[in-house]
Amino acid sequence: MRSYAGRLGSLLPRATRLKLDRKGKFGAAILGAYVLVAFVGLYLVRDPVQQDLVHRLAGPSWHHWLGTDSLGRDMFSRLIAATRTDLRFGFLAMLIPLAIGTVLGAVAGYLGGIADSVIMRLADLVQSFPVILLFLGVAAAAGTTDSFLLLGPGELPIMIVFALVGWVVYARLIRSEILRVRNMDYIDAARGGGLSTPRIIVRHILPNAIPQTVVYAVVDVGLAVLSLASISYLGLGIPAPNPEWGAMINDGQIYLAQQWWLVVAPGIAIAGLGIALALIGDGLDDEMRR
Amino acid sequence: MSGDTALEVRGLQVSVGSGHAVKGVSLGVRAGECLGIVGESGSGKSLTLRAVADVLPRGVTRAAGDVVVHGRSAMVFQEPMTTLNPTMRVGDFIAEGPRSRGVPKREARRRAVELLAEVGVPDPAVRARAWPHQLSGGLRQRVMIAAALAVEPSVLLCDEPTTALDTTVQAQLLALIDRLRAERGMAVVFVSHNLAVVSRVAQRVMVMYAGRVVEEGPTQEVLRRPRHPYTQALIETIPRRGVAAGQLTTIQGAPPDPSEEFTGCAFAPRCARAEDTCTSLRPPMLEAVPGHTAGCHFVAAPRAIAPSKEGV
Repeated sequence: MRSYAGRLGSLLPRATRLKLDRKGKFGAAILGAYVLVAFVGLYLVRDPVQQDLVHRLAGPSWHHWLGTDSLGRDMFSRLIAATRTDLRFGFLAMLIPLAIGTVLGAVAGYLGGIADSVIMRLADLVQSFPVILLFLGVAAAAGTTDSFLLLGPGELPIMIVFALVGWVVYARLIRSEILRVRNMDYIDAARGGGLSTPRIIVRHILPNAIPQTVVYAVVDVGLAVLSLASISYLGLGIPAPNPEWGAMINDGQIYLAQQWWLVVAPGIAIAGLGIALALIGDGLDDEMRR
Repeated sequence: MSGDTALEVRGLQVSVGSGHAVKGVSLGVRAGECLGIVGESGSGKSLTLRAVADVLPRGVTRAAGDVVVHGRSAMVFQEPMTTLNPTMRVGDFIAEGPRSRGVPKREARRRAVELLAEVGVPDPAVRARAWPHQLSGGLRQRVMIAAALAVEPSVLLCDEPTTALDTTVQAQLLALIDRLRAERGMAVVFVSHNLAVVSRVAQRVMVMYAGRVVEEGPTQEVLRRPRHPYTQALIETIPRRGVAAGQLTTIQGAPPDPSEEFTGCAFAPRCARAEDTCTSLRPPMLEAVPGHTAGCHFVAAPRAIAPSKEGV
């Protein structure tokens, strides 16, 4: 039997054979700009953590497009650098829970019985737990954690919380879709044709169960970025001096009356990304219903 | 019509929850022969077929009985809108059967195109690359039949394959199934609630009621000289030319709950000629003429539904 890992590669284009309408394409264009900035932006700007205490809180100028913050750091450079942090974190904070949730949801949905009960009660337990307490718990650890694989300094403990909590939605989505799909006649046809259970799950059930989840996953990237920004704003997220949109808003808010752009610029960055992802998700959803 | 036995079922019981929806069905089909199974919703005809194909719904189990398939079986389902995987090109879907048994991808695809041609799909090479939603109901059902043929079945199980289609397409598909049966020497089991449809493809017909076989015999014999009052009533409900709408005959009452158990004949409450024995004693299958049996106490006097004149 050939490896199913190899097949999983071909699963995604098959599963996401989803079209985008016009607003979805517009969202995709915005997201593309963010991704481009995240990849190449850092090489075009100056050091985002370089302090210049003589020129603190400077207004926008040719030299500092968005002025400088309270430590004289170039705001535009920080905004660009934060794009990389937030985008990378947002996608990972979607992908890791998605992977865990898909496996657990597929097991619960296809096997049913005790496996289903255990996994779904665990999901109930996680969902009823106040997440902010977890972030308070890991806040101390975040300050002392180094980079880990794709994650920057301080991100690992936060990502662990996201993974612990985020899989629940994906598990529920995949499970309910599998319950729907496994009763389809084409699954009976596949069973009647003598196909093996792994082949039925990978080639016939999952491709039909995943599209709805893809729509949520796209929007979830935006939610993850918003969550990261929120906890960073509360001082529980990415530790200083690493640039992150939510932390930048926190830094700038005491100067809101005079240097309002310190807060507005990262705010627009967050909102723009959220809107782009929402447009894509909505566009996928509309095309699916068609 | 005298091939070897391709499918044998003995004493099949299918349980749904606490009761039995199929209460002991036996049947045999020879290679190159088509057996029709007729009955109302809940008669157990579809569950009998699904038990043979081993694709019973969840919560429904085979409680007793033997199913022996000489070779492989493949099934064609009722609803062509839901029987094709919407995320696969139809050629790939047909190729799934051969590929799962180790036929190389390219070879399986070539086979899929051949099968599409065999079931009368125009432009088979082009259609193999189509998605299910791009095809009409009739074409989808042909694709489904091609997918069934891809496993080289000795027994083709058809679960109301033409019910969801319009009459013209229905006639074409019945002709197709009949041709495939003859050409391939396949055994076919054709389930339908429609006796008229079954009579066009089946050489032998079996009538089911409330989980039991009530009559079985050569199709023409059963149609012309039905021995069971239920079969007689069923035949009278077939619309005929010259009978205006509104004058169609119906069978009084409703079929019983499939899992209900009867001490006597399950049809007795709806039967015009039922007597006391009918509710107290279950009639055995009695042979009216060789090869034609019916589960009625009055098999010997088939047409005497009205009281006989000698008594007057």
